[in-house]
Amino acid sequence: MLDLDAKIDFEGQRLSERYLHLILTFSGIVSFLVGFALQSLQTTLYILLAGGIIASLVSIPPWPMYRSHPVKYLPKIEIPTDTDVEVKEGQKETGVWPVVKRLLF
Amino acid sequence: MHTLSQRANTLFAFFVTVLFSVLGAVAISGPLLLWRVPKDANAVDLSVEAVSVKMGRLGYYYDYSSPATELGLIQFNLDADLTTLWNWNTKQLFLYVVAEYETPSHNVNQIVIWDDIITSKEDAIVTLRNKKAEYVASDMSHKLAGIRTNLSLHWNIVPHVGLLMTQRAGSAPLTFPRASQ
Repeated sequence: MLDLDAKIDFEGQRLSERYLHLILTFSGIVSFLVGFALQSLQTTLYILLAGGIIASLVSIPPWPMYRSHPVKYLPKIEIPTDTDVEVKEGQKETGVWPVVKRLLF
Repeated sequence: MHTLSQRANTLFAFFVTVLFSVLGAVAISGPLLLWRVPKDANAVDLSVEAVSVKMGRLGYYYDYSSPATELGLIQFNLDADLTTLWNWNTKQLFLYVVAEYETPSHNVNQIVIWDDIITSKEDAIVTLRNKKAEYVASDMSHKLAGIRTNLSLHWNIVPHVGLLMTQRAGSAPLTFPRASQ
């Protein structure tokens, strides 16, 4: 069962937006051309409506393809605390600074 | 875009954009299609069969506060083929026959004596013989006798989307006679 509240990843967001733009633009152009060819405004509106329904089915639910590129977080870093690490006097560093230094350098 | 409702919102907004773009294109296509129709394609032949003027009162006959007025009764013939006005953006045609005349006090006077709504291409060929005017003609001076008018057929092209257009064709001169008792 598809969990409708599931959040999709960044790649999935890009994909779903691209799909909805493509489907709706395409159906808009096709609806005008077909309606003009058949001289029927009803056909135009039905094709647009069909395009809208297809686009909603494709891009609104959090399909698994939109969740196939989960964000990879950096491994958890243990912050040494005063209790389990002995720090020499004069080069005592506390707080997040040692962590930032390890990430940067 | 990461939740369902945000994607639904984005989709709806873009759907409305596409919808209005298409409708805008449809609105432009209507006049373009009509522009391609030759001017003389709408064969309109209008002629007056009979005209008479009689004294009467507009509104309730026994309302003596309104003055006696000369009322023009017109019978006319009309042949019109308006099928060329029909395209995918034509919702309906509103036809009306107008009597136009000048008086010393007013340059432009127009009286609608008959109208009709046409809602399909099949009905757009209009043939009327000895048709009585739907509305009596009267002038605000309460006098009609001797006025020379010109009948013409006007029509509004009512589109599904876009601007309403008014065109006219046909011409039939007419002079209102003296009032008969």
